[in-house]
Amino acid sequence: MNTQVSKNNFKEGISLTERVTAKSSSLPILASILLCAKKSSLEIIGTDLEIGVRYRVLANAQDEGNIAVPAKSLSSFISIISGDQVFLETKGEGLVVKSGGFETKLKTLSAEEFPIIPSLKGDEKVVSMSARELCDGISQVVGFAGTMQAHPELSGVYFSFSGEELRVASTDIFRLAERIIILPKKIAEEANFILPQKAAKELLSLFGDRDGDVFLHISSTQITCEYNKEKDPLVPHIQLVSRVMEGEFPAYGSHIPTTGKASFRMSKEDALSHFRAAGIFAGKSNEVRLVIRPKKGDISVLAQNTETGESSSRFQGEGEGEELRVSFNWKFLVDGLSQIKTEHVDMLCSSEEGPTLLRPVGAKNFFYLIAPLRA
Amino acid sequence: MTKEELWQTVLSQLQFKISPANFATWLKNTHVLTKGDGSVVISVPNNFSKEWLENKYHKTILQILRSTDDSIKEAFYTVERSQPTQDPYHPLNSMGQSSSPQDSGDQLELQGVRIHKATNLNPRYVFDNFIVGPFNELAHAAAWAIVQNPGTIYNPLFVYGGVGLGKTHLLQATGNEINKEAPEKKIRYISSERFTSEVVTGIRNHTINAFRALYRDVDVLIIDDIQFLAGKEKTQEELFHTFNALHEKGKQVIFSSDRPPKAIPALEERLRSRFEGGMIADISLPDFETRMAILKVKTQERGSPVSDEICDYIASNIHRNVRELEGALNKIIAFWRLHNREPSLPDMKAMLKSVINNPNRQVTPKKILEAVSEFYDIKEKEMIASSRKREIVRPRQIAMYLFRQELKSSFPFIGKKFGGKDHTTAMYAFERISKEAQGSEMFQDELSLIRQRIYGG
Repeated sequence: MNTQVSKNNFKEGISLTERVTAKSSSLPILASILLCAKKSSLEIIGTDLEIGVRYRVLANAQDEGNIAVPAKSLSSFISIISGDQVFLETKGEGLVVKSGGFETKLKTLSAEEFPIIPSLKGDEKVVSMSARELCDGISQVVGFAGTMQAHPELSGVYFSFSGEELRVASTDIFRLAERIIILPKKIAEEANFILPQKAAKELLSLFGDRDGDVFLHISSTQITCEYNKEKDPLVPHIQLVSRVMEGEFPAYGSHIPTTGKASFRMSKEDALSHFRAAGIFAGKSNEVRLVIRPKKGDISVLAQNTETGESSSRFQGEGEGEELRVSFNWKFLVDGLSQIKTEHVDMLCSSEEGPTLLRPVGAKNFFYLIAPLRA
Repeated sequence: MTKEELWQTVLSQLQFKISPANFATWLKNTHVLTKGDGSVVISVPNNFSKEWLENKYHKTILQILRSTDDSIKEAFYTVERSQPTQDPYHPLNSMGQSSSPQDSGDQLELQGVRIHKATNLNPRYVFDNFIVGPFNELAHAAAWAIVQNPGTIYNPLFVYGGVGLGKTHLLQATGNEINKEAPEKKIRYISSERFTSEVVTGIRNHTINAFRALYRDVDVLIIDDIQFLAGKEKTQEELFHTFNALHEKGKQVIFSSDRPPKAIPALEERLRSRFEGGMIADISLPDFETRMAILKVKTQERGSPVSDEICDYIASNIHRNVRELEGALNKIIAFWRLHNREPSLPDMKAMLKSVINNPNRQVTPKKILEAVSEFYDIKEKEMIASSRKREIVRPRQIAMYLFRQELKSSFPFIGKKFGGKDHTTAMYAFERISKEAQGSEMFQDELSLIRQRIYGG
């Protein structure tokens, strides 16, 4: 092959595809990325056999051709060199990369050995939405997926399409977050699947900053997320292909408390700083104790530890219900609060040992459910 | 040639035509799904394997297939959604694998998240952490027999006992164990409350047929706290038909209740007789040794061991139910966490003061009346009034008996308390009930269940 491509595009393509390459002793080619030069485009492909990424940009080829190149050395090299254009040319067993005054010859592997990324069959359900909104929603829940081997179905992000809504949720059995994304148009058929956490994170880095829509192609075993479906030559065409997780996501809807012993409305920043401060003095179990006094309108945050000492602080808010003492892992509290985007937060504690619900005030599209520590 | 042999032939020839790395990567977990009509469908684990086989090896595979069996014309590849290889119900798999930031064991879990969607069972309840003693031996043995042979020996199994003694644990453990032994069996666990609400939803939304189909298609049906069906006629009727359908097909049914079938008020006779048709096993109060054992096991489990002396103190002072034992246990653990040492006996006495000397535990005439009227589902007022209806007279006599037994009230006092009756009426009631209690074990059970209510508060 012999082609010419803008360096910025090439650099972005390499860094995005390199992320999904894998080290595998049985299939060493997975540490490479595949370059496919067509007459007017260059496609860069990476995969670990669970996720596949294709990235296609405008390019000008004298000679078409495919070649697999070790991702690490190519990406390190590209990130250093200067110049606006990159020239790629195969010579014998190697690939010559030229840009600015730099020139290098990389070892290559046969493109024939590179795995084939599953392509769309055309019978998938298709849903489209704004790339930014999808990624915004996923980013709020992706961190809470579990890592328990016994529950593989919890180690991904659950997507559930119904009517005009997409709900994305994840849980690790100690906490659960759900975000609702409004779809641009009502979908005909309901659909749901569990996307592996890694694929969800890749989705964020691939599409998080892009304008325009993404298309989700949903089949029973595979999800393909496509950007720039119309193949506008001025923006890259990107596809993420991932398997879906097996198993069923728990029916969590009926376990969200609607009433509780105490509820409290507070400033998010106040709560975060008090929980973080108490966290410094929390022991190994990360325990902080909250004393919620709705009548007085305040919460006391207590922590103690035989080594570092103890902390006690108080902040104001508006409450309803009875006085309640409840303990939490402070990191879980902070994790959840950090995902809330509004200035104020509603907290609903069902009981001393029951779940507590955190919701943004003035936005109904997100909630975070957290189980307390045993009293 | 079977499907397995056919695929083995293909693999054995293919291994020499491609590199070992490729062979291992792309042909792992493949098998022939169906064969017939000149075509073969090959199951592959994922879409990457599918693409690779279709694009790279299809010719070779088809060639080998044809040379082995010349009726084969085509080969297709399909991704099969396999079941997870790991068994989430195995206790080892659900323990100690969480790599969440903290693992202290004090972190509670969100309810409902771990509950299995199809069976509705909570995998936390297993036989491994069910402590067996003389008080629950029979129920435990019956449950085990069912695990071995569901639907054949004890059908239905009816387990009854007071609150906090482990009925739900036993029922769920039975379900989980059957699921482990025979994962293909459809198991459904449901509380009678949910069952009722599903019947109501079914009637309202005209989906009762779907409801029936769902429940008549299971292999093991477990219904918890069946006493709440008292007085719910339509639900009883649905249960009756569901039960008949399942029983006829030899499917296992398990019920639990806080009292024997005879003592459940407002229960249709045909349903009662069905409950009694299988095996009835009771779970009574744990004896001292078992209470000791429970404390020992649980404190070990939670990593806060305590001395025999303290176990002894707790076990001899808390004897009404296992949940209270757990309450005491939580206090010990909190103590460990705070002071990082084992509580001494005086510490323990101070901590448990509120539990042991709880004013709620004092028996009062009011409590006896409440417990008896609640148990027999009659009004307190009726019991005190001078009705001579049979269904009132008997509970009244039982209440009088309990006044005498538990409160050591004088007969004239009892007579006065029950609407100004003569002291001889009270004496007669006491003697009659005492006699009956000596004669019938069933009746003794009934009395002890009422006592549990009085003391359970």
